[in-house]
Amino acid sequence: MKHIFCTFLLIICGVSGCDKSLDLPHKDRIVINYWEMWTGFELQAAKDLVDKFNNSQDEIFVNLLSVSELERKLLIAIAGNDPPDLANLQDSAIPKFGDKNAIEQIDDFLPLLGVSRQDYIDIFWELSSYENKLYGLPIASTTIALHYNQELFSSAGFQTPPLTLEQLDEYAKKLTIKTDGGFETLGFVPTQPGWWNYGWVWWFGGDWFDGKNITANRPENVQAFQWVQSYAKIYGARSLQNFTSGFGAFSWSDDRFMTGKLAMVLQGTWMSRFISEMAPQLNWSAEAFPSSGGKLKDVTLAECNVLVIPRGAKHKSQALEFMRFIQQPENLRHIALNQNKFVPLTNIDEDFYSSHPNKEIKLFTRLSKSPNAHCVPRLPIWQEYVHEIDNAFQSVWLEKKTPQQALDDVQKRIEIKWKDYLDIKKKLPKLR
Amino acid sequence: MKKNTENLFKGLIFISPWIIGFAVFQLYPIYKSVYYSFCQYDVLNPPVFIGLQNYTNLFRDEIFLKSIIRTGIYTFMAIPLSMIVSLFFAILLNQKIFGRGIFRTIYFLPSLVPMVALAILWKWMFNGEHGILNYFLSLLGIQGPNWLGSTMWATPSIVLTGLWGVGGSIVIYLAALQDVPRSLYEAAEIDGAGWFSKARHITIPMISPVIYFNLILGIIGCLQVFAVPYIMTAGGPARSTYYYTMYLFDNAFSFLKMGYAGAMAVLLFIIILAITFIVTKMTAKRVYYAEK
Repeated sequence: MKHIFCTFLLIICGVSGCDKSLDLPHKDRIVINYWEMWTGFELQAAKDLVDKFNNSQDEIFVNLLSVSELERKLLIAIAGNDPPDLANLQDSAIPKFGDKNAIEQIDDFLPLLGVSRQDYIDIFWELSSYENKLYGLPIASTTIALHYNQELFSSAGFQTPPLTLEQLDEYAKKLTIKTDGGFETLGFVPTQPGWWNYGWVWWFGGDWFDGKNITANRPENVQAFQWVQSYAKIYGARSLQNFTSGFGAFSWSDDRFMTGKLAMVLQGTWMSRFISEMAPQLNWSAEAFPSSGGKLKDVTLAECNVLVIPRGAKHKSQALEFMRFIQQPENLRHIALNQNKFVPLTNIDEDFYSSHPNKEIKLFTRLSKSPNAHCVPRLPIWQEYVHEIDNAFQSVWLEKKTPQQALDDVQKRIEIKWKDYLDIKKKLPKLR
Repeated sequence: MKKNTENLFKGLIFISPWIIGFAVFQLYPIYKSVYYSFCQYDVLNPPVFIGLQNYTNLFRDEIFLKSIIRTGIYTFMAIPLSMIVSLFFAILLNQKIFGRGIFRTIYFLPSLVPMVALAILWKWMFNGEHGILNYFLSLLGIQGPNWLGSTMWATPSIVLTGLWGVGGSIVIYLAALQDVPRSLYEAAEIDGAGWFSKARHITIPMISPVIYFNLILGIIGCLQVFAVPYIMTAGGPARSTYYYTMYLFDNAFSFLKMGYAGAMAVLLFIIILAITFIVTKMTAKRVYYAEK
């Protein structure tokens, strides 16, 4: 009985303790909820700024929450009319959310935010917009480039990185060391890391959408998929599959580039952080990934996080206030430095580069300003489209279909979906 | 009469937590799914009634039709295999051997492993280069395939993974096997029946209701297969493991086509209902109930 009584007392104390924790200095402030997609060191960078903001004034308290599968949960929270006041979305989600009016347009608040279009690198402004309406402001920004192992390059006698895609193929052949039914070292493989299967077309001058029509099977895209398939044909899809299936998750120490088993890989700004943690002895360098025939210079994919205000947010003006704070150059800089990314602003102090942990950060920033910097097509049905592209990519890789067949299938299916989308969009106001 | 009404009322009160739970969390969502299946609905904006459009669109959707075929193939592979394996182990575990209880526990334990942990574990075992399965095959001089990376082997791999969870049906079979009256076997033995005859004429007919039960539940489970392939292959390679419910899930939560997904859910319900009806009719004469 005594024990039960003691336990009861403890629970009561515990509960009252919890109650006390609510009695924090922010109790007289307006609390705004901010959902962040990151965890680990990336989250820490955001946390630092939230703390800085919370300590800088006594009107608003930002409550930061790291949310897995943020896009899906945000959607449900918006539908349930209980969204956070701020959320950090991946740029590719902007068309989908913007199209459904799920996030607030912020064009009218630019003077309040103290920013203008000219302050930002074009592509990142574009990534935060949909159909010429601005839905948020970019934060940490990235591009992708060829990462290569300098030691393997020197032992193969290569002084410079490849300048054309054809040269890269040659390098790959020379750097590959085969063993019985497998590989000891692989020069390059287009299925690694496998996050941008849709991206290869840009290095051939292709694209997936021309602003009006679906262009999945345009000749440049077919050429790109032929190039992908050539690797499966030359090295044997099965052997490559076994070699790549052994790849651990990229942030693991088992990653083949970091363990020196893969000589070249297409990776982003963040890669240096993982190299310094997992394989500090790796002697690496980066350069723009070469295009077919070397015709296109500085081709890349640009990505960024966009800070948005979900529809139905209860404290819009306070959310804007926090946005304004984040957009101050020193704060954007803090996030970029600590997330191993760069600042989306056009003007950056020279000392940003010297203090950045990624020795190649200048290259990545330069790539984002290139006329050949691409972003994921601004299509509300992009998720369905990319699903089809990934399927086509796998069929081509496994040599189940020719590139032409696979891309014709994508074209056929997505054209129907695009037409359906446009039809419904036209009909909806009448049906409502 | 009055007593009966009172009893009914009391009974209803006792089961009311379930009734309320069922109505709120199942009946209402089912009703809404059916309603949304006739609508264009993206969750964020109010649903708009579009009649049978979602259903007509489904029948010209190649991915949908292929996902039905794939799910059917998976079911045809998984059902007989899991039924044979679970019945086989149940019969073995029904023998009077030393440490029977321990063996029964060992065979049941894997079915307690959460589905997600199970899928991740098997994903590693099927790994083409470092997987334990290919290691054992290599000891026999066989070069194993890249199980989950090959369009030919991905579905059989998922079927094999499913076998890990047969513990539940083994227990059900075991209970049924123990319910078969000893006297029937003794009578058969007097008549000179051997092991096979006893199994065919006594064991199987006596446990037929349980076989039927496991068959129906197995079919329903297979048609709804989701978690294991979602984690192990995400539908790949080249959509070779992209089953019905995975496409349904993508339509609902990735493409925000709730109406379309609702139509798929309604169709799946009709398919399951039809198959259950057919199986029940086909097996009616073979399932033996004691009271008949």
